[in-house]
Amino acid sequence: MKILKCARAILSLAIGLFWAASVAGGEFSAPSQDVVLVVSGDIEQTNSAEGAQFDLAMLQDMRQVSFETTTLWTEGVVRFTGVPLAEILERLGVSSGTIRAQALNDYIVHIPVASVEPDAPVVAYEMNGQSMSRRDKGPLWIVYPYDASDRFRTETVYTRSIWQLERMEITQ
Amino acid sequence: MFQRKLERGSTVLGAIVGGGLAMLVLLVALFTRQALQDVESLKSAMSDNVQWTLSQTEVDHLHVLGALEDALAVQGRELTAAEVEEIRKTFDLFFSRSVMLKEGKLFLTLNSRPEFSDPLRQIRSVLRANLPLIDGPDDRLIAALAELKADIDGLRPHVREISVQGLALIAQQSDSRREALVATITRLMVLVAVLSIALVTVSTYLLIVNRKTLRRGIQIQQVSERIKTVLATSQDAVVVLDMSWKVTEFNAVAERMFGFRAGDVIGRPVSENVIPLNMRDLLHQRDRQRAGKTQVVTAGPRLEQFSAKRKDGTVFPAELTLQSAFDGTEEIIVGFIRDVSRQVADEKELVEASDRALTGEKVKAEFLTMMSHEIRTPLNGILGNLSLLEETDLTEEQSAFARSMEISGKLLMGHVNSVLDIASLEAGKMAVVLNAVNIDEVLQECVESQRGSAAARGNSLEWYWVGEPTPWVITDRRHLQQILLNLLGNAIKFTENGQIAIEVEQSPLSSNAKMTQPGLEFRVVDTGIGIPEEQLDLIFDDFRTTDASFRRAAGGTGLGLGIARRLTRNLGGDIGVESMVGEGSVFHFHIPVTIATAPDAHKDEDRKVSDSATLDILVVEDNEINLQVVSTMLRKQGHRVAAAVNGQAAVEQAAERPFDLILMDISMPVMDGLEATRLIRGGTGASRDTVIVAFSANVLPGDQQSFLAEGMNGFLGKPLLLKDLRRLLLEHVPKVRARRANGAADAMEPDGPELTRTRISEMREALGDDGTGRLLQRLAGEFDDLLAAIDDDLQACGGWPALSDRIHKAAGSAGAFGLVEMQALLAEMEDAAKSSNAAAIHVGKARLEGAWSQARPLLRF
Repeated sequence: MKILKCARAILSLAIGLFWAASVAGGEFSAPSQDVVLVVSGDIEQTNSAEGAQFDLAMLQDMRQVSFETTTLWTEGVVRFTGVPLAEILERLGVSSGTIRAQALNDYIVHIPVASVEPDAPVVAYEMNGQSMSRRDKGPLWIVYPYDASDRFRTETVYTRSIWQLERMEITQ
Repeated sequence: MFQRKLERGSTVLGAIVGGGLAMLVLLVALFTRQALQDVESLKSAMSDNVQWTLSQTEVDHLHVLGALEDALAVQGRELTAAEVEEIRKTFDLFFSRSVMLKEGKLFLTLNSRPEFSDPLRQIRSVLRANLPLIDGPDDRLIAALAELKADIDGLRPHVREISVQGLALIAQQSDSRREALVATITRLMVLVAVLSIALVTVSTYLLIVNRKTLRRGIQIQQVSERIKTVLATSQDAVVVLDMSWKVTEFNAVAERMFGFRAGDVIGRPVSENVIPLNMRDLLHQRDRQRAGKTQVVTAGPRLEQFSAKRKDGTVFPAELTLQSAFDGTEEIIVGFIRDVSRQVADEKELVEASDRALTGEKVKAEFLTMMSHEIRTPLNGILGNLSLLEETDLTEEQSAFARSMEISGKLLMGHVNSVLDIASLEAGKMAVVLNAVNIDEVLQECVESQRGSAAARGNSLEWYWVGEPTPWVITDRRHLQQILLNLLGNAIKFTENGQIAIEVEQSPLSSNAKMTQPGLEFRVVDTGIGIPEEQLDLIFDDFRTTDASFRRAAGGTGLGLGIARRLTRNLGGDIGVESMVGEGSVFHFHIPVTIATAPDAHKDEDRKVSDSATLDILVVEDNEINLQVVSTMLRKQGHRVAAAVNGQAAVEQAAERPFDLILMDISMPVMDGLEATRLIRGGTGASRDTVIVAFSANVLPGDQQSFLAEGMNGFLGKPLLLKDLRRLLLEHVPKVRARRANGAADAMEPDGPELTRTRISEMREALGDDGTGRLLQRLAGEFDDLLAAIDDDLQACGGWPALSDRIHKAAGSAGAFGLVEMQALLAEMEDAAKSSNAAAIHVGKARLEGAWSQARPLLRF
């Protein structure tokens, strides 16, 4: 048992080291398809003059989180799949400050980096297993697992649930 | 019992209150939950989102219109891809908004309202209709821009409608929700209020109950403390038992009394050590009672005497009070035990003392009898012989000695008589005889009788009324006279060349506020030497004179004032004195009287009763004259008389013959009357059941009791009076009673001069002329001497006793000759002399002189 635990620890350490090495190595390639998300401002990793640009594939390559919940804006229970916002921030070396998120319709909301949890919110790219179109709050939607906890059913959280997400700017 | 009911009641009440409270709490919980849910729904607020989305719908619509107008405004060149993309993007955003309005959970309720859903359907159908155009190639889209714009522009009123209607509905909804919330909170508030009131009520109730409990607790504690104190300070040993006779309490006194420690006996059966053997029997008896009855100890406390036993085995008398009580759970028995050994010892001592005292009284009575018989008789002998001696030829010196002896002898006789007076008073023989009395007369007599002796000491003497006089009152004349004479004698004794006065004044005695009785106050005022203050309280005590020197100077036994006080009290009054040394004294006494009017007739003598039954009578008498007189008297009455000169002869005669009556003298030589009576009664002679009557002079009150105790039937005084004899015969002699019952007529007794003549003739028959003549001469001499003696100064002539004796003797002689009137008169005078009543003597003397001058002619033959 102890040996097993020990082995698991070593394994996760090894993976972590490997991943860190890949980031540190500055291997942050430019997007090969349409850019769906641009992150600018006070970030450590960039892949263009504008900052860090992501296409859908790049996001799909990152750690993926999936949950079911109802939302105020959809009908019935919906399954979201996406990358945790924390994952993106970490990839870009952001550990503090405020995220200024902007939608296609110029809706803007500020999300403090400190309020970002490891698995929530999620930058969702799939709803019910399908990509989201622009006509249906796509392509990216910052969502929270609203049904999971009270703390995700506040006015603040609702305002931070920005759909048709286009860009994020990190400020200190 | 009552308390239990109360407790049950409060339990039920408690249950009700508790149930009510629980229900209230439940209700509050329910409403609270409701309110919380409402608040929760507020917490996950959605209305802002809705409003935002609704307003954004208009914005999105305007964006689409703007993009289209911008594109249509481009003239003379091709539209760029970005400009086309802008149209598509704004369209998509507007479309996305419409989808959200249709599907979003936020708009579920809005969609159920036609005023909202109808315009939305319009918008959506227009947008869907244009989807092929938007998704189609750019040139087609550009070609149709104008139509598209018209379509989108046509949506303006619908978009507006949605926005306005949505907002109104939301406002409505939020209003109703707020109202619901307010209602919930109001309900909650009301409930909380009710609950609070209930809580306050219950708290108050509990507070009261608590306070009551607390108070009861304190009371119980106090009671318990008090009981503890009572137990600790009790003079009695207190032992408490439970129903199985086990000791539960054993106080400190019990520890001391029995010698056991409380710890040694508590919890153990009481019979094991505390209770002695005889008490165990008592307990067993109780146990049996208990088996039979319900109650162990009778309801009230019971006092028992028993011998208690200490630890060391000593036994002591104790008193036990048993009381059963109910201590709340079971019956207990409380025993109070008192060590009465001291009390028992005291009682014994008291009984012994009482016995001693009684013996003392008896000795005293015997001594007085002895005084009466054994001192007075020889003393009379001495005095008589002295007077004979004085008549012989004596030298002057011898005469002086004889006079001295006579004075001493008379003084001694006076003392003896005083002592006898005291005995009479103590025995209550001096009964109060109430008669109409003339106070003026009494006072005048007293003053007259004492004037001589007062003058001898140079004193003036007078009497007078103070205030309104009431000459006639009802009181005892003899008592009053005696008191006044004693006080006057006293005053004269201690006053020289001064004034003495008697004041008398009406002075009602008030026994209480309502009742007043008429009374008289007498004051004997002198200007004598006075009495020292410290002596004032003592002078009324017996044998008390102010001091030895006065006693020597004035003489006297010191009994005069004591007698005066006794007599005053006998009359229901009181006596006192005020005095100042060198100034004089005031003796005052106060007696209750009844105001009377002057009597106008003199009372008839007792009805004369005679019996002609012939009786056999034995007269036992050592004095020959007396014997002859009595015998003659009885024979004259028609009786047969036998005589005996002493007890021995009487016993012999009584054995031979059955007499109807024996008259028995008491003091006789050879054998006295009591002894003779005892022998007759105890023997088998013929007269053993005959009526025997004591026949004696100078009888003390206690004597009569001893006569009866020896078997005598009654008592007759000397001299023998016919009326007394008749009364006695009637009472005791069966023959006489029988005759009276048969209604036989009483024979008239000869009376007055006739009786005297009869007597004299009887005597002549019995004694012959010479003998009778000698007796008559002696009688005449006696009377003359007596009258002469009374003429003298009473004080100087040998004192009251000597006078009394002479009167007594004369009375006997008068009786013997049938001089009944004189005999009665002399008897009165004898009484007066005995009580030293000079006034009465003087009055009597005057009457006697009259009677004697009348009787004298009869005494010749």
